[in-house]
Amino acid sequence: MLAAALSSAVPATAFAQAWVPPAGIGIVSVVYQDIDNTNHRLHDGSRLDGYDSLSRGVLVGLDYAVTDRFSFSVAFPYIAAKYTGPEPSLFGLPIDECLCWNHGWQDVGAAVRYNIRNDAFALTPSVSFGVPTHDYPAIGEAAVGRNLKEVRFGIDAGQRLDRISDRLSVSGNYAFAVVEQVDDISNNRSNLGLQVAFLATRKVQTQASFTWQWTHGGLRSTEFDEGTFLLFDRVLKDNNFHVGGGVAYSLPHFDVFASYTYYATGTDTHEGRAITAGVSVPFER
Amino acid sequence: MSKGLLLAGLLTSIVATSGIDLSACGDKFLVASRGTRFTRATTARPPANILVYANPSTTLSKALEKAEVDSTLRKAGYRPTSVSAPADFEAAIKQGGWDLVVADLSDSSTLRGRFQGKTAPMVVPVVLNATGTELAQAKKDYQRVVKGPIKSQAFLEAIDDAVALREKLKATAS
Repeated sequence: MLAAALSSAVPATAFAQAWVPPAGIGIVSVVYQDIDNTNHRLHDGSRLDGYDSLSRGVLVGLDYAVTDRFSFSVAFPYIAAKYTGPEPSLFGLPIDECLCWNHGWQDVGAAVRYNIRNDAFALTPSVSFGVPTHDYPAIGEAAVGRNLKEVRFGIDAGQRLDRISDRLSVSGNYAFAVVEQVDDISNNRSNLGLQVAFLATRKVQTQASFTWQWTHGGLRSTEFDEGTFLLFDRVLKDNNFHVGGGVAYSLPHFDVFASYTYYATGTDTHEGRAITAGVSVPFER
Repeated sequence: MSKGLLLAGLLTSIVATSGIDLSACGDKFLVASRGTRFTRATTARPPANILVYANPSTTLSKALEKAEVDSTLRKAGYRPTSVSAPADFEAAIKQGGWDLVVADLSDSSTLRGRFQGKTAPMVVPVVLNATGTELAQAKKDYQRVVKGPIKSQAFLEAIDDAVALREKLKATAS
């Protein structure tokens, strides 16, 4: 029974989806996430203890299938973040030094998907967008986001593994994000995800997931200077690998799901974990 | 020197002298695949033969039309046959080989009496415009019911439930 929701650790509001709902189905979701950034990974992958932070967010989203092939989604994340130290923050900004929660709406996300195959094999390209809801501060551990627009081109593929078990499936997704440049510094990104899901019963799915992120361009933490230092969070070359697991349970009128993501390795990234839980309520036109 | 540059200089000097590299602070929300019902791999369904009897003297006929249940069941991998005339229904019953017979609740008690034995199809009544008491009674009387108003995916889920139960009962019996 292990089908865990692979956490596609994509810092965006569109989640990987090879199989799509049929025409007329909509899904309203509310997702809560608790991220504990326990350490940092330096440019060489080594760990730097301390300088911890927390973030908690609530994502409210709507998915709707206009036809059996074409669907769209929109999502609004509200984020609260807090620097927890114990050391004085490296930025020394009030947003961090107050050791208090800084919160606000982050980036509205929207995605359109066009499904090509939706049977034992599924293939779904997508285009998604992230646009800051307002001009929020983007510097400091307690910033709610990077305040950058981006457009992502993605493709999701999935295969039910009937030869082993018709309850077992694998899926993968790749997305290339074209990110708004800051000071002409390119900060595009690739995200790759692999998920293994097992339908334990007709109502319960468990998943295991593995996700990678590569930032193309950007600056290593060792490459910042006086002129670029204040762009730190926005153009950092954050490469990482996350692993996760999760479970989803379908009740008659709604689904509940939860997942755990561990930040396994990376360079110029956080070490930590994310716990996600949510409810999604399908409706039919 | 502007305040910003001053701050930048100060921070840079801190970093330079402490030998510490900073790291990412930007990821504040990771979107996970959820594994919920409409994002899962499509279900591998047994090719169950389903007879849908939309008796024109009941409201079921119109309700089924709106929901396009025939195409929904077919797309899902089932083998549905819809009939409305009583003579066609009788012919279909005579032909045999049905796993489920879906009919209005008012027809179902008669049908249930006709289908007995291990290989008999499971009768699945559709309960439309029923009171809570009537629905509760139908759930007691039948192994599975379809509750109206009929919408295609809800109908499919109810049929999935009934087919799964029938498969289980068949496996237990054999």
